[in-house]
Amino acid sequence: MNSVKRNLRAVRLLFVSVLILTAGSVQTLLSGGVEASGLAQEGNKPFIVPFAGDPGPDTWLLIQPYGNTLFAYQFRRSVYYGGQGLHFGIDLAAACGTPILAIGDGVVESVDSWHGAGPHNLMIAHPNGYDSFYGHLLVRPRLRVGQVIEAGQVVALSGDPDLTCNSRPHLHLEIRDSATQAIAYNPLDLIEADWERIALSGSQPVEFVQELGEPHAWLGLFDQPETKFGHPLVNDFSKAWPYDW
Amino acid sequence: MIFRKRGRMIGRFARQAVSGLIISGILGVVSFRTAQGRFEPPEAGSPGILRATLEPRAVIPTPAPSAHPDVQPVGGALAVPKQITNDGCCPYPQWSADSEWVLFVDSIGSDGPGLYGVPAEGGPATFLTGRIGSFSQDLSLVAYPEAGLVYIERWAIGDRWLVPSQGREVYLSHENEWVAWEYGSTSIQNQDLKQRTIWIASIKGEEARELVTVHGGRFLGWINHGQALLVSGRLSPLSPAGVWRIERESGAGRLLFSTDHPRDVLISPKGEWLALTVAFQADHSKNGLWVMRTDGSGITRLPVYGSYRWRAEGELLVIPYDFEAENPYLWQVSVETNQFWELTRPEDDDLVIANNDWQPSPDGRKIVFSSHADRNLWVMSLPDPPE
Ligand SMILES: [Zn+2]
Repeated sequence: MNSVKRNLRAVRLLFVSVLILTAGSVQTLLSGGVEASGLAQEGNKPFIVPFAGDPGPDTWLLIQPYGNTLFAYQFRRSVYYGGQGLHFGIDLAAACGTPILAIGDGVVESVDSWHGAGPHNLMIAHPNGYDSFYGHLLVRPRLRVGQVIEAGQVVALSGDPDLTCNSRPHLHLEIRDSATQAIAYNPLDLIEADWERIALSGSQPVEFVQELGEPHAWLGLFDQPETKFGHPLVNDFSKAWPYDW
Repeated sequence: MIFRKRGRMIGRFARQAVSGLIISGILGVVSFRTAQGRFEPPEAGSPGILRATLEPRAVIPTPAPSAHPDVQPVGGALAVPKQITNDGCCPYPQWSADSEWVLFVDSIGSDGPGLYGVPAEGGPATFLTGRIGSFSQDLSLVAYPEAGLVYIERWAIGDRWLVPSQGREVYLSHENEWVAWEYGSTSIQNQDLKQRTIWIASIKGEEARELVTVHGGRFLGWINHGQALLVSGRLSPLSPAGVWRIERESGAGRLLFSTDHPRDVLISPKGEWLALTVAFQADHSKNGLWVMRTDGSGITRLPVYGSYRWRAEGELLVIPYDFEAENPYLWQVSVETNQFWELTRPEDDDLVIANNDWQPSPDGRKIVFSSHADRNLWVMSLPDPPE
């Protein structure tokens, strides 16, 4: 009985997904991107945090937000060149093997695709026009493309890009537009959590880079530009602080 | 005007309290779903990863900090922040050595980019210097790169000299006597394979010499009036990993604290104390916020985690990571006596820190923070615990 219900629900979700994804594509074509601002209001964010429980030194910590971070700026000509010099996702540190939860209902779009963030990755298409991308996974997620996923379902295990589980184990999470996957949005705008409070951790401020000609731009957790993959760097500043020593 | 701003802020906090409840609800649902066992075991035979870590780790939340320490009121009025800038500005504020001014990098009108200052009580911003860089603790010196070289400048006078760091960032000792820098590969991503060689020289850039090479670690800071410095990592590939004290004269190293990849290491203003975070160890009794003296004594794990800064030697300010509380609040921990003091209350909704960007003044009497409510700087005078 339960499985019949589930299957019906899955079919319904898939149907709704297809409808909305199609609508999303049209909207994207018309407007040049998914409009994030309407979804970014407090209490109205469509996604949930990809780990269970509150953050902390036993569970998970936000170690790099999205956008014009100092780290991305320093590696803007290498690691982040394809993402306009921005950190085009968020990094959440967690021990290897920590279960990762789907941030929303959706359908598996790809497993271990060419999108990088190795050793393993996962992309889920959501019916609201966004895809979520989970990188640096410990093992290949045992999911089929097209499989229906529910928000909060464990879909993968957190890993380490250096394969040691000691070097820098973390989840790299992106949210892209489903239609083209060519635009990445600030996950903090789309995931419901008190991110300023989550950032109150450790001894150092969250570091973004100041362009000295426009020194108030792109310095907040939520004040960050979209990433258009393959487009020119947006932070190749001639005068910036902190310095790129 | 201030009243209107406060009104907006309070409205925002009410909304945040509601959204906090929603988040708790969502997280509750998440735990429930996880507990139902929807996890599918990963495929056997997947390439390359440690087999021992294939099982999902149980997520055990950090204990609620209020469960442990006996927090005492300071008595008298608690701290209330005061706005000191207008129109949104100024991330990463620093203090002048006399704690009278708050300094930040900005570009205002015809003065252009540079270091600006605002009195701690508020007032118009004053242009101080167009020279931007890493300032010494007393702010008399500034280090900056130029055409691939690094200079130190006495900016009030304008005389400057070269430091032979070949363009690497330099770190000045507290009394402006010594300088350190590190060479290391930026292309190796694996933190454990990365080697950094730490060099030191006199503040004038003379007598430069290699002091120590660390594996999987880095320079952390000067201590003990420039007589020693702290590094993380291993001193050889087979030595234990942790925080090491290296004597400047002899280069002798002593392990102060053993751990892989200490996070957020923070040295106290005079270099006598050290705070750091250990996270994600399978043995959860190792995780959390640790404090110790830089001579290696007094190692203590505090029964609280959060955002932390040194107010004075042995006096640590902590904003506990307490997601049950209505709002963030500030404690002071007297680490030697293990006393906890309540400087602000969770009912107060004005500790609206953006980007974890807050700094105690050198005299320990105030903090400045960047506000996520209005992007301005706010200063809060801190009450003193009883003697
Ligand atoms: Zn990342």
